[in-house]
Amino acid sequence: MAFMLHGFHSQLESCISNGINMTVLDRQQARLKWLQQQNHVVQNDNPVGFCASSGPQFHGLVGGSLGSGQIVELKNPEVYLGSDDFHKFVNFSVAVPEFGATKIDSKPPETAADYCVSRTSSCQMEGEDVVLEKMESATGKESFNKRKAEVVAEDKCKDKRIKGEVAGESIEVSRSSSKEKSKASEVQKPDYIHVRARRGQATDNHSLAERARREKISKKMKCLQDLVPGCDKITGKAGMLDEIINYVQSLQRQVEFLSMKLAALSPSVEFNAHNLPMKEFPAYVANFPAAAAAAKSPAIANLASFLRLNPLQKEAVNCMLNSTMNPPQTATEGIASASVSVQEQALITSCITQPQPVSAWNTDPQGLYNVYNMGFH
Amino acid sequence: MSPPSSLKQEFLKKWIEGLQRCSSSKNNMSILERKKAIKLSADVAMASARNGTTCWSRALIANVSKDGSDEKYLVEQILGPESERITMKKVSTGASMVCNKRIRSKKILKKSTRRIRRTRKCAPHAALATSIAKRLVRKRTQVLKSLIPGGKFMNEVSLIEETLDYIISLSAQVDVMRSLASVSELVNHN
Repeated sequence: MAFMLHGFHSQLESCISNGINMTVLDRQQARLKWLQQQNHVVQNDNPVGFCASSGPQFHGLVGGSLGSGQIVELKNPEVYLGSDDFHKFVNFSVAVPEFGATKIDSKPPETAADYCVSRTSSCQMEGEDVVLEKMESATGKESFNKRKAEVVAEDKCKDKRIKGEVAGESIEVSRSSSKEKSKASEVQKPDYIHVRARRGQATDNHSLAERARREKISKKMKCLQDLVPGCDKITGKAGMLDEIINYVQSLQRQVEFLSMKLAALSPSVEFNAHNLPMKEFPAYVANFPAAAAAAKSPAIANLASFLRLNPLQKEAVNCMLNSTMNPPQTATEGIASASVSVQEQALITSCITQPQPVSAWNTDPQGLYNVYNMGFH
Repeated sequence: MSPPSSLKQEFLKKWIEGLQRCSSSKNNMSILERKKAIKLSADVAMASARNGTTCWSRALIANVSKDGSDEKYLVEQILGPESERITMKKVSTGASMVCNKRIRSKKILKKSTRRIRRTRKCAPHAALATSIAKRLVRKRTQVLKSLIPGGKFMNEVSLIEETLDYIISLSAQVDVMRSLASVSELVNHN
């Protein structure tokens, strides 16, 4: 008992150096004391031994549970996974005498886990191997490689953590305590950003803040991945940035080209649009060949819905778009640049040949405004 | 994620108004001037559709209405009363000049440390790979910063946010212009 407390003190000191919230330890201590009160089985020296040697905070807790709760009988496997009652661990009686003593030094985590499994199987627990494996798979590889040192307020999470620790503790035992990996985490408060410190990573404020910043950046990169076409398969910042750059450049080039096109079109458009009464428009449209199977590309659908054209107009626009324009659906640089260069040249030559009325520009906005009205009325 | 039609409509409205104001100033323009005016009014409309909420929009308007540029007059025409409100945010660009100096001094510092680092021995392969990757990422961030208006003054996190918004706005702009062009062509061919 005294040895147990001594273990706690050493833990306390190590935890103070880690800057961990003391209330957690208080809770652990209370829990352990309650455990000890419940169970009068004498603790093995072994679990206590490595309790003192290694520094992690939950160690005493689980060491206590291991010491007291060496498993012989499991009533039902769900105890491991879903139970909130910690005292069920207490019901397990001591079976394996020499847990841990031989396993302290430098065992790889897998064999420790195997030992864990074999230990339980040696106790002839049928369901338990499955349960333990389930637990391993549930906690995943990370419980073996990373130590979940998160401070949690709710009981459920606590119990899950404790169960994780039962598997994790075997690893703790196996690793030599000379490897002083400091683990810490931020206290769970509503305002704080939750950052999980992994094994072997520094825990001072700078690196934590940097890690939070990096996670923010990667989250936003994922949003960009949805936006930029063709980025699903690219992983990694550099490739993503490359695609983003290409896409932005192609969009900017498209704006340039389209403004050039509008500038070229505007005089003749306005000249006609100005004379064109609105009700004659469907007649003009009807002259178009009946657009049979116009490709319903998303751009055309967007355009039609955006301008709220009636069906006749829609067909006309479809024809128009299919025959003349080739809207670049993908944002690949090559296509955009090719279309730009070809069509720009065509535009420029057509502009030179066309006669341009002097006062056309005055009527331009008026004509555009007409078009705008046509779209929205 | 296609740009919302509300954005497109607002852009179109502002663009048309801008073009109207723009045309009343000059009578006779060459095609290049027209193109310039169209593009300018489109960009300004796009930026003002954001109402000064994003950094790139403010930087774009600030760049265009720089003192001593002939486009400033156009911008003032286009924006009208709004130009005052957005140029009030020019105060932020004053801070950006300080940032500029800071960036320049940082660059000098970086260059000097880079030369020192090169004299070190070759790092093992893993570290070499990561350093190459970091260099690539840094280069590309520089390029991206040059593309986005006002990108020089942003840190990485806000750069990515601004890129997101800029891409949405640009694609809205492209969609509207393309639809307008197609409709004009349609009318033209009649």
